[in-house]
Amino acid sequence: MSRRHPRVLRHPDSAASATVGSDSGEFIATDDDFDFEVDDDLAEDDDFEFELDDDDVDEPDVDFSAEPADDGSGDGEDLTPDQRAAIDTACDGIDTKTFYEVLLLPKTADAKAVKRSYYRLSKEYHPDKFYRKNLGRYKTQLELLFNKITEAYRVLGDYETREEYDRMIFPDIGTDTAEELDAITVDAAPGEASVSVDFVPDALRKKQAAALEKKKAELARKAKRRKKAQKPVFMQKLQKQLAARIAKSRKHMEAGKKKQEDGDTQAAVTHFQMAMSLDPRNQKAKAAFKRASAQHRNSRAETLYREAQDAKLAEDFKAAAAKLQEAVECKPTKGKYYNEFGKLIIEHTLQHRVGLEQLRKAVELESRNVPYIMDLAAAYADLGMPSNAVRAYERVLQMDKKNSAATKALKKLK
Amino acid sequence: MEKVIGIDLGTTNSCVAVYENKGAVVIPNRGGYQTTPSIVAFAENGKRLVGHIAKRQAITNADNTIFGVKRLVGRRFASPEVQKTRDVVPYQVEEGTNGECLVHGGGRAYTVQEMSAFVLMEMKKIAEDYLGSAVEKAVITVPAYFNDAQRTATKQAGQVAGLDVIRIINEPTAAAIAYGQEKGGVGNLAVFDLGGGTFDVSILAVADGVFEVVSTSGDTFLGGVDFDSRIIDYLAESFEAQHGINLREDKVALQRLREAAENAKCELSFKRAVEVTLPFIATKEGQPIHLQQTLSRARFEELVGDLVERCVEISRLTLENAGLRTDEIAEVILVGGQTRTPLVQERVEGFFGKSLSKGINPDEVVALGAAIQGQALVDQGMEMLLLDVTPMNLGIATVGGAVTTMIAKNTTIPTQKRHAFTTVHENQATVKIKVMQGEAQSQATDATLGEFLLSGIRPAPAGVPDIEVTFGIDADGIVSVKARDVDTGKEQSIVVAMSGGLSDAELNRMIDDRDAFQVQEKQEQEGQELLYRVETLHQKVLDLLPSAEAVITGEQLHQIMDVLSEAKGAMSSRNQDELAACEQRLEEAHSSLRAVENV
Repeated sequence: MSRRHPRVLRHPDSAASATVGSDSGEFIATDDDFDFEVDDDLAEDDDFEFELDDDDVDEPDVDFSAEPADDGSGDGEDLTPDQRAAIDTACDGIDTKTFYEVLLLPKTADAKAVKRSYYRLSKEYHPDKFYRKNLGRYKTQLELLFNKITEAYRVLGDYETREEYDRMIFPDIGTDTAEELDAITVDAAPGEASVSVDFVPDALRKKQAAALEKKKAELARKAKRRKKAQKPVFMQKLQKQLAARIAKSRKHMEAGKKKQEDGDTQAAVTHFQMAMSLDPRNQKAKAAFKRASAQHRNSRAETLYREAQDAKLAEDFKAAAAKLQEAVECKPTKGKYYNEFGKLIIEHTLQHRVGLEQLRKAVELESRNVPYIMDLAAAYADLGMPSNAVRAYERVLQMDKKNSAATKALKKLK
Repeated sequence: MEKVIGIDLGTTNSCVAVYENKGAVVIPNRGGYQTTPSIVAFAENGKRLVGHIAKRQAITNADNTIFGVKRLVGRRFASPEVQKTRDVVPYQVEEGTNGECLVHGGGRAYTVQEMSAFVLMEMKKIAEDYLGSAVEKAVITVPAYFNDAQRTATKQAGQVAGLDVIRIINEPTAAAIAYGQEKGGVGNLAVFDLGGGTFDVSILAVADGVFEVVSTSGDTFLGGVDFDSRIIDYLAESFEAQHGINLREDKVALQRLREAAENAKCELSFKRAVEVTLPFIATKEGQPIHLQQTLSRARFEELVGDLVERCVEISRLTLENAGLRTDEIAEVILVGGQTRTPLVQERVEGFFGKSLSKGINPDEVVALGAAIQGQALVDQGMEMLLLDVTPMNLGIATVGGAVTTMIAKNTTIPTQKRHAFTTVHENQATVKIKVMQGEAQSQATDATLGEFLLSGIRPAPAGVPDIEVTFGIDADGIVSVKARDVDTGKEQSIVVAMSGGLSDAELNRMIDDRDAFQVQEKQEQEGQELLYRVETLHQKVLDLLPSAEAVITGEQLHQIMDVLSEAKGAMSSRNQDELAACEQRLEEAHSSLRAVENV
């Protein structure tokens, strides 16, 4: 993904963490770039185990800075009065200021102006400019100020994030805001003539200022309300993405159903799988996928079985064995394939034990299937395990007393 | 105003510079060289040698010649990089009590910080000799891709060396500053820094005296020594194929190979092929055998091709992270000696699609930049500001082996980020946070910086306490963690258990060692000077004696002869007190002879 600037609001992992939470239907904000207030949605990391190791507790805090301890008290002796005033003004009401106000920019500023302003302000307020100076109470203010300036640049410096931010703070006012605000300052109140451009009488100026303040406050209130109601910017994006995924998921569902009707079980399974992964909350997709998978497995196993039979007739035993093995793997819950596979192995290879194992499995899966047990018993007998064979035949007779083949074989063994 | 020096503490070579009226200048060492090898050795007589003199005796004293410790700094002993280094260096590296690395030399173990400090002390001395006054403040450079542990260890090394490290800055950024100061200019700058042991690439935006790093990345275990290793392996393997002997198993032979490989590599920068000859490198059936091997540039480029590719790949990623295209880069500057290799220059030019800016010395530019930054910090009048970034994601370990990012890579520093935590069990009094730094955001690959214990949380049901933790990265790129209980407003006590860092006690011990060593050194030096003075006086008196013999009395002559023979005795015994007494007597004898001379 190409980005104009590395400082983007969305972190690669915020999408991941959001989908983790999506199972519970709730978004957990793990990071919020507008971070001057503690986030309402707490990130609860479950990994904080109770572990109090007494040995470690007494080690002192390791602090290697050779800088003089600036305990935050004091009035900032190393600052000029101008600097102090500047910092105070800049920090005044900083939490309610927009990024534009922080960077001292009009909303119409272009990218170059944003950068220039950021550089200019950095040169004034970057901590390096106050290196090792005694700042007193201005220390934390400066930190906060520079953080805010950097944050403002990060958002306004990137085209995409700036757009989102603009939409957020001026959603329905649009570009009229700038003109509106300017209009207030320029127009004289009705009934009072403005004498000349330069001279604005005190009373008028005060009225204009008051009106401006009121309008600003109103906008700020609206923006704050909207901000509270709205989910953070990156979450809007997430919601859009999610909606897109759900739509795609539905499309896959339809496609899958169609494939099922056509009899292409393989394709149907794929479609349902896609539908399921795109929208994990869709229970119908999950069910459809399960059904389609089972259906697909059954039909595939049967196809393989038939192919194996054909191969046997054609005396291509190797191919038949391969097909049966695949059938077994495809549908390991059906005894038929094990039985056929086992018989094939015993008949046409020397790996009788392996074949025996397959026959045993067939019986395990279908314990009341007499032919299978008969096959197994015969195999036991041939392989020199008469006691097992006896037991197998006896079981057959238990189920079917009239089975003459079993009785005959039993007599032979005893 | 107090002087600040800029020190480029490199893996293979170090350089020191200072800012004078017109700009920064590199300070040459006593031998007249602009750079000093970052090598420490312990001679048989116990003396500690640093720099060129240490490098020169490397072959005969392989066990006690320590080089390339920058590859160990800030790393745990168990890390793969340390193990790889152990395999190829002749000196002993072992594990300390906290899992850190210790290096053996001269019969005892030293921490990596101490080794680096020895080199820093040498650079400090070089500066002091030039300036004629004591120097305390310094800016030390580190690879941009160094993590918190590595930066902290470097800062500690500075402390042990007796320096007040006012800033740790990134090498590519320093280079950009030096370049920008000279050439001026505005626009996007790419810095490709391939040094002795580390590789960095940074993209900067420069305007109005502001140097803003947009993105940076690198590999702290990729550099010139790896190029050397490829040649060493090639030479050793062809020798083994011929003679069946693995030269790498013999420490002395390996050291010779290493030097030969380095020389060959340098020569191949301007020759198409070199002939490596190492006579008497080994013995076979009692007969001495020699190594004679031709190495062509083509073959060399084959051997190191993948290393260069990796550099280019990292450059591509960094450019992508910056959101810029190659045609948006105005200048590309090369830093670090290894960039002299034609293949490297070719591939970098090819990738950026523009010719490289020559005219800066790749060995010195970093130290110059450091000196400029140092000056900018102490002299606010300088119109220069550096906006650097953190190169890796800083995060905390969470369930499932993942790492949740607190401060993303390429975030401008200094920066703070606050995060809310709470408890999982009822009445849980302590919360443990494992802070990690790295690229991959997985606990398996990221480095652990430390485990912070927040204790003293008041008893409450699970999920109720509201603890605000502030993660900060300062301008040096070093991490700090502070916690505050929001409900009570109390600042929580945090315990820092830094991986591989030194405790206050250990640091103080090292500083005391250093002071003791310096005192000892001073005494030795004074003793040496005294001896020299006595020798000189002795000779002078001896010279004046023949012509004075005629004029002085027999008794005077006897006295002088006594003094001379006593001095002779003191010179051979080197007894300080005797020498001091003799000096005085010789002075008297000398002045009386001089008086007579003029008669």
